[in-house]
Parts: sequence; structure tokens; C-alpha cells
Amino acid sequence: MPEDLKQHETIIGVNNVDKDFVVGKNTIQALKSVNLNVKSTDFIILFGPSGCGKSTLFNIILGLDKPTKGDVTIRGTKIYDLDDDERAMFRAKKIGMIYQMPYWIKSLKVIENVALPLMVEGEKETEAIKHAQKMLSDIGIADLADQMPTQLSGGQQQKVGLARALVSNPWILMADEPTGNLDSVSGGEIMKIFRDLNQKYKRTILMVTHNEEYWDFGTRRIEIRDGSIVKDTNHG
Amino acid sequence: MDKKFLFKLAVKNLLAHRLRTVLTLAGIIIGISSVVFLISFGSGIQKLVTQQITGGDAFQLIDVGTGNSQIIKLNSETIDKIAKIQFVSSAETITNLGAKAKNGDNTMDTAFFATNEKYLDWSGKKIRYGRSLSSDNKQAVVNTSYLAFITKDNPESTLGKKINFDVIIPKELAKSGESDTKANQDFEIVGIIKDDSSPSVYVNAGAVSGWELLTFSQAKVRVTDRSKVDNIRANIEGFGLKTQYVGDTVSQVEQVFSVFKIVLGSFGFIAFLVALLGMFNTLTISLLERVKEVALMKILGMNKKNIQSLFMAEAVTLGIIGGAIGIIWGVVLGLTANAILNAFALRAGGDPVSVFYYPFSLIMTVVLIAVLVGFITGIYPARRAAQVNALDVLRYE
Repeated sequence: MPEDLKQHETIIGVNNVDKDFVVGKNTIQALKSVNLNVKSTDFIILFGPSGCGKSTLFNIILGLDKPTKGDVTIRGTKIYDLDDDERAMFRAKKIGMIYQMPYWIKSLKVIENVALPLMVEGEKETEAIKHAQKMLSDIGIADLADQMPTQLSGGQQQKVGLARALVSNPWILMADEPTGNLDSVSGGEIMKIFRDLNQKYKRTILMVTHNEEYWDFGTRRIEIRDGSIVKDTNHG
Repeated sequence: MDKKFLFKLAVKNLLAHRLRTVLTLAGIIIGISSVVFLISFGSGIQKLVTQQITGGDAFQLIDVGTGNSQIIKLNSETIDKIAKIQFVSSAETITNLGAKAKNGDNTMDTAFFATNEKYLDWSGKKIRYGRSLSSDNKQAVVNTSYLAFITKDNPESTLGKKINFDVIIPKELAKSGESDTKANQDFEIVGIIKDDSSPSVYVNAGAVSGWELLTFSQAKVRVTDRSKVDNIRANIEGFGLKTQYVGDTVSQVEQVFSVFKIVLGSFGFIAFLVALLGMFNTLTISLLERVKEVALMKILGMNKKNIQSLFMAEAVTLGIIGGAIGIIWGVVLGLTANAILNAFALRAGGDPVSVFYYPFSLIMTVVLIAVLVGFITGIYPARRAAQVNALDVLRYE
């Protein structure tokens, strides 16, 4: 976590965001005037029925989907003012992302997959591998380094995915149903790591989950329905 | 992004689908090797034929004759004048006579040439056994066709043997204007030329110099500078003589062969084209299969240029490896075919020849084409990969 980041500073600002999808002749409003200020200390649990717009909001914050109206700032940078490649680099450095089903470069070993974001940022392979090795040790899966990711269990894959998301030391960690495919033991382990990351290592976390068991891990709970934030409560 | 790693990733991706990569490579190898095999065959035949026409230094030689003229004479005087032209190093002559070869009671008509060692050498007549003519007027070089008349034995054993002729001087050459016969001329065989066409005997010009012949039949003029050939020919033709230059023939032959090579090359190119489509197909399918990986790379922050480079690297790697093995394979095929051909030729008593020829320019062109093709077939899949919309891919997961 960068030293200069103040405890309650707004890290993500979603300002008046609309998102429309045009399907045939119909326009579907996925997000309606969404405003959201995420503080650097937040561990946000995002939930809502499927199709409510949470994935869209996620992708907009990630910089993958330009809003129809409004803008997104991350620590003062209006990310949609950047061009595609600049935004890709910004994302690589500042945001770690975890999916329900981790995606892999199948021809690469675990360690190389974890090192990939660093190499994308411009690190030399040997350096990147060294850092990735340390990241795997920190998460406690150093022994998986030389395996192929697709041969691992769901829980192991999710931990490797976490290592990859954290290896470039991002400000923000975003997770879309990270425990959705895991048994309760593995899921619990992942959630504990998330809580540590938020409390000890001061990472901002945004997580989508439907599993109420895990809601208490967060510091703030946001419910989305029909493209609008309907409930936003603090628990931290 | 670390370019070395990008290349490593490209190679790993190719290795991940070993069978597919090998099959694609096989296609390129077959295509490239057919091009190499067929074009080197064309070049080899061309070289062989050109060599046959030109012999060693034929490009420095001009043939001079009188055409059908009865007035123009190619005599010592004219030869002296030709020899004095700038850039002419020497002019050598040959006189064609007829002779009756005698062997006991048998006789045979044979061609009888008065010339010298240089002229024989320039004509591309290679001495197979013994040595060429010298200034000794009693020596003769004969061809194998003539030898058949005097012996059935090994040609080499006839070296040193005495032979006897009645030489006939046609009236065109005789000073008296009447045809004449110089009977019982003795010579000793010193050299043998392998040539089974028609019986021929070559003796030193000095052997006939006493006969006061009016004209030589032909001359060969050697020039010191190839680029001056046109001037020298014009000069010689100024004396009323006719000239011939092998360069004329060779350029015609070369034209024929350039067409021949294009035809052969096109056959090879068809095979190559099929391989190319295979490669294009492989790359496109490989992209479709990995569209999720491409989406992931984009989400991880890889820019379009790097994604494009990754796919280009895979295409060019296929092109280079396929090209290199294809060239080697094409050359090996050619050498093997040549060896088999020569084995048959030797058994049939012929000389070994090289039917395949690999000009450096051919190899370089093929290398270039292989790289270029890798590059061109890579462009479309690479562009498409760079255009992948990460969001669409993950949304419809």
C-alpha cells in the first residue's frame, strides 16, 4: 500500500454513471445514475439478484466497459480519459482482479502465470519470477509453483488467482464471486485472506458474493437492484 | 513487455499442441521443399546445358568463318590482322579436310583436322587418355569413334600406335584449283578424345603447312575483355568474315530455362500455397481456442501491440522452422535423386553429372519467402486477437 494514501481518502469515485445496452431495437438500462465513493479502507460486499447490474458496475470500475454517461475516477485519474492501452496499463498496476473461475494461460506453469502481470508491466522475466515466487510463499502455496494451473483443485486455483491479482501490489482488489465454485473450507480460507489483506495490508476490496455466510467479512455492504444502489450500509 | 518472454510464450503455445504444430510444419516443409527441389532441378539442368554449350571459357571466344563466300579467304594474312585487333589475345585456326584411314586392307572415311592444342582446348574437346597436340607434326589426337576402326581393345592401349591416311585436299583449298590427295601420311596417336559421333583425327597445323592451302576453315578468337566482344566482332566482320558468339546461344537458352524454371516453380508453389492455407487455418483456430486467454491477457493489462506480437511470433516461428527444414529437406531430396541418377549413369557407362544446382540466391529467396509468408499469414489472426473484446468473451462465459 502506498504510504501517502490517507486512511479515509476516496479511492474510487463512480460519478453519475449510466450504462445502456442496445439489444436489437431495445435499449436496456443496466445502470441508472449510480454514485459510489469507495474509501481506501473499505471491504465492500456487493450483492443483488442476477441481472441487477453489479457485473456491469464491476467492469466499468475495471475500465473494461465505458459508461454511457458519467465517469469513474481512481485516485484522481479519470480512467475513461485514458486510451485503451493506457487504461490497460493502469489496470495492470493498480487493480487486481479475481474471477469465480480463474482464467489461465494454459501453456504456462503456475509461477509463470503469477509472474505474467509483472512482465506486462515491463519487468524482466527473471525478476518477475522472483517476485511471483515470494507472492506464492506469502499465500502459502510455494509448492505449486511448477505445476500447470489447470491440474490444480478449485481452491488451489483460486489461491493462485489471488497471488496473480496481488503480485503487482495493486491498490484495489476486485473479486467476482471468488468463492462461488469452492467448498466451504476453501471458501473460508480465501475469505480470511481477504480480511487480512484489508485489515493488515490496507487493501481496498470490492467483492461480489451471494453467500450470506461471508457478508460479515466486509466492512460495507451494498445492494443493487435494477441498476441502482438501493442499500449502502457500514459495518466496519 | 519482456520480448524474450513473449517469444518463449509463443514457443510454449506451439508446443502445447504438438500434433497440430507438427502437421502444420509438415505442410510448410513439403511446400518449401518442393519449391527448392523443382527450382534447383531447373537450375541444375540449365547449368548443365549451358556448360555443354560453353565449355570452360567460351564467353571469351568468338568463332570466325567465311560463311559461304568464295571470295573472302580466312588465311594467315587475315588471321594476323584479327590478332592485331585491340583486346584480342590470340586467334587460332582449324582446317577441315577429309581422309581415307587405312588399317591393313580396310579403309574408312574420316574427318581430318589440322589445328593446334589451344583450338582443341577452346572447342571443349577434352583429352580422355594421353595428351593433346604439340608442335610435333607427326602426332595425332583421335576420337573414340575413330578408334573403333582400328581396335576393339581398351582405348588406352592404342596410345603410341602408328596410323596411316590418304589425305584429300578439296579443290576449294588447293592452290592449283584441282583436288589432290596426299597419300600415306603417317601419324602417331598421342591422345584420345571421348566422342562417339563420327570418326575424327586432329593433327598439328604444321603437318599441312607445306601443302599451300588457300584458306583455313574456321578460327577461334580469344578476347581479353568480355565487354569488348561486340566491338571486336564488328571489326572482324569488317573484313567480310562471319562471326558467331556463344553468348547469343546462351542468352536464348537462358530465356528458355527461365520459363522452364517458372513452370517448375509454379508446381512447387501450388504445394506451398496449400501449406500456407493450412498454416493460416491453424493460426486462426489457435486464436479461436485461446480467445479466453487473450481476454485474460487484456484484463491483466497487456496492450494490443504485445498481443499482436505474440501471435506474429507464433506465425513467424512456424514459417522459419518450416522454411529451414523445408530447404534442408529439399536439398537432401535433390542430392539423393542425383546420387541415384549417377549410380544409373555410371552403370550405363556415362559420366556423373549434377542435375541439381542450388544458387545462393535461390536459397536466400526461399528463406525470405518463408519468413514473409509466416509474417503475412500471421497478420490477420494477430490483428483479430488484438481486437478481441475481453468483456464479451468473459460475459458470455
